[in-house]
Amino acid sequence: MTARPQDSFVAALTAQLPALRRYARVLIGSATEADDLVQDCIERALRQWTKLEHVERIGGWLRSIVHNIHIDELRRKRRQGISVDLTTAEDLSANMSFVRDPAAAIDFDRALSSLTYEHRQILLLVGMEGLSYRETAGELGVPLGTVMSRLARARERLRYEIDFPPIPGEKRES
Amino acid sequence: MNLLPISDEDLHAFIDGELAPARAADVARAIEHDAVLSRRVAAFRADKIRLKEVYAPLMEHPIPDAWLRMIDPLKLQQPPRIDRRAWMAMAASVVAIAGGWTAYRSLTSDDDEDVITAAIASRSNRVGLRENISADDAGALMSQTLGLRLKAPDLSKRGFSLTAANVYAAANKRAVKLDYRDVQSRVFTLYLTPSSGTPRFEMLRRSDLRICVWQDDVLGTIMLADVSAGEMLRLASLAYSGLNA
Repeated sequence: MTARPQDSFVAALTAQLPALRRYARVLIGSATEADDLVQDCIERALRQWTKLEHVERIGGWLRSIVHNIHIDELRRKRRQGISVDLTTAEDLSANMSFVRDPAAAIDFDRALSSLTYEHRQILLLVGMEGLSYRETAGELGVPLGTVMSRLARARERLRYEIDFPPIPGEKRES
Repeated sequence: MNLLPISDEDLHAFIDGELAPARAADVARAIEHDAVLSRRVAAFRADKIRLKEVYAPLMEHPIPDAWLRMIDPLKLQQPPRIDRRAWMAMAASVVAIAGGWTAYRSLTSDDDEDVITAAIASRSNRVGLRENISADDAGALMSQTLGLRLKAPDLSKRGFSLTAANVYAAANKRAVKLDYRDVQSRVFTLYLTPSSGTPRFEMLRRSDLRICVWQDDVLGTIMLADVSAGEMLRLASLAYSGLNA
């Protein structure tokens, strides 16, 4: 029996869904928006599946689709004059009851949510998805040196946000 | 000791195991002799671990059925080029197809349900069970029984090892069952039958069992285990793709 290309694609796509959904949720902050984004991503992936040359690279391909749809959506909202808040962690905290130290997890989530989109993205690719620096550079389309410097700045910023949480009412620049 | 200054980039590359061995040794020595640096590295390492831990539960959230229904291999096939005569023939067939569809659908649903029931029953049926079977022998059994070139999938990446196999060959209902077990003694069952002809991918739940039905045009695969939806998807994907001999 030889799997047809579409069967291999379906198997790979299905297997990626839990990780893709997690990536979108942490990156976007809102579970509802992330789920809409993943659903749009699935639709686009199904339309464009023949463009994926190597099925083993489907993870990066799907994340790129998520990123592109998200950016398009932000542009559309900005054109319509809708203010865009990237830091709404409306329901991620609902998951924190499952972890060992929920309070620390909520603090961590707050700190991560306060970072810029670019910083969250690189932290997730290296720290959560387990990509090498070279793979990350390929996925983001930036030089290796940019990955290293951006990652260093993202981690420093995250640590600062954990060590020095904002006092209520304080507004910080990311 | 005279070391080159250690940049932030070097420090994080060291944490991620991305530094060349010689430079990594330099950084390790520097950390050993600098308490402040050592504390920074420990904090960054803790953040890296926490990032994985905090969001790990999100992987266990059930995938919406609507998404799984969208992912249908049939819809992925390239649309054939259809000429005008074919369109007319298709239009003429629509009424007949629509009329017969309901009866056909209920028939295939009943057949599919029978297979699922048989697959569930096979988990407790020990008659004829071949324990401690090798993957090669299981593959031979599958190929011989189902008339397809198949092999027993390797699920060790997901922590499951092949423990037993069984063959069911009652009147025109050939099937092979493979049992896999993990260290927690959870059993993942792979139940294989000839396809009923309707490609299908579906996730179901029956009491404690998560069931994945994955059927293409030649093989029907029913996978059963007491696992989360996310884990079942990963196991099902690995099992289905690992069947190719």
